[in-house]
Amino acid sequence: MLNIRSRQIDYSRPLPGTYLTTGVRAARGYRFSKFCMSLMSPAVRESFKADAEKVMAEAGLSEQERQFVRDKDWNGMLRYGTSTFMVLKLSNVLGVGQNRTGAAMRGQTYEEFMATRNVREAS
Amino acid sequence: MAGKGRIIGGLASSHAPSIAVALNTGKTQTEQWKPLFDGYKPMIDWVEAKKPDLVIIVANDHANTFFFDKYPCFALGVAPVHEIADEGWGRWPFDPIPGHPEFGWQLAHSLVDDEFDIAVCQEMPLDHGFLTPLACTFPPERRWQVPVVPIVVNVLQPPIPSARRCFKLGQAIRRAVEAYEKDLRVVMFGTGGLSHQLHGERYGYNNNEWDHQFLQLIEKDPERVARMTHQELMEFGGADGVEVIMWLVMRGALSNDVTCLHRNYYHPMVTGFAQMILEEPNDGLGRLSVAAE
Repeated sequence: MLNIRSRQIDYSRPLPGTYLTTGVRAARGYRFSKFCMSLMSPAVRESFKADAEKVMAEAGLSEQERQFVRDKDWNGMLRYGTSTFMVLKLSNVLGVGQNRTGAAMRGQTYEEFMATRNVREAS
Repeated sequence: MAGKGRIIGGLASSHAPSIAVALNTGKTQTEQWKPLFDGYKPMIDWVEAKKPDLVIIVANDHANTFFFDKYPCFALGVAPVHEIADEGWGRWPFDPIPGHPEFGWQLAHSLVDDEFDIAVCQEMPLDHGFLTPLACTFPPERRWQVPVVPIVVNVLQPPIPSARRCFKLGQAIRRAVEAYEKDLRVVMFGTGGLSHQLHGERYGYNNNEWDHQFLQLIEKDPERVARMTHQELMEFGGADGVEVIMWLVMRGALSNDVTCLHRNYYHPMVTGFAQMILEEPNDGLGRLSVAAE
């Protein structure tokens, strides 16, 4: 829970399974977000694919942050303080598609998740 | 100051990147995608018939144009040409889109005079938030014949502008258009939504009932949507469903006299997709000014 008062969002009553990127959470996650954003560069993507540990070290990620990546712990990243749009840049480079990432966030297999959808081919 | 610009109507569309991918890979008539793409046909025809001079389009960035080092609540693209963003897997295969610096800078002045302190951007590469709706509305042979002035709204990192503020921004845009000294027939284009959430255990949340209610309200009673908090919008429509505040910018720029010519809804996977055409009476001459707040 974030200690922010806002007329728009009741941070004392967070929606279940929802982690908004703001406040001290966004501050804590900023370095990690910046690392994810660096993957927008084709050169960094290639370096990351070749040696992820090296790129994470160069980005100055903490051990905890590096472990999120090793574990593909998407919800861990979100709770820690990054945005899903950062997570999706990372999961894409790791070869995990958006809906596979989303299924894992829900704690489901891809097949379990897809069974909940109306038309599976049109994402 | 009565000018010569006018708003002739509004368009709205979801902006998921998967739509643009389906479009670019020739899937528009597959069983899975046809119900969505058929919804763009009336929009394509309407724009072709109306021949607007300018499209003002409102979308959010998805951390492709901006990063959290600096994240504007509102941003306005005034470039002569808008570059196409690379979202991390290569640049979208679209040509850069012409802008309208003369009107863009006038809009910037009008908005700031009107207390909307918008970030003015000479370089603002457009991501799928803009590209999906534009590419679906302008088929390849008509790209890009109509200049575009893009407006970005922050929906990624709270504090984000309230629904009320977005509605008022639309009203301020209308005042700016109507004060413009040259003939300019403008289409407003709102994008995003409807219900979806792309993160956490609530990934894949949708709410068809709310989506249909929203489509009704945005046409008939936008004031009611403008009164809603982000908490309510996120509760009903998912965290990313808050994107519907960008439909309110479009709606705020229109009059009460609009006619809904088209409305489509399709929910295949993780997002409630919708499209809409709201037409002003008399080619935008039906109602000449919006009362100041």
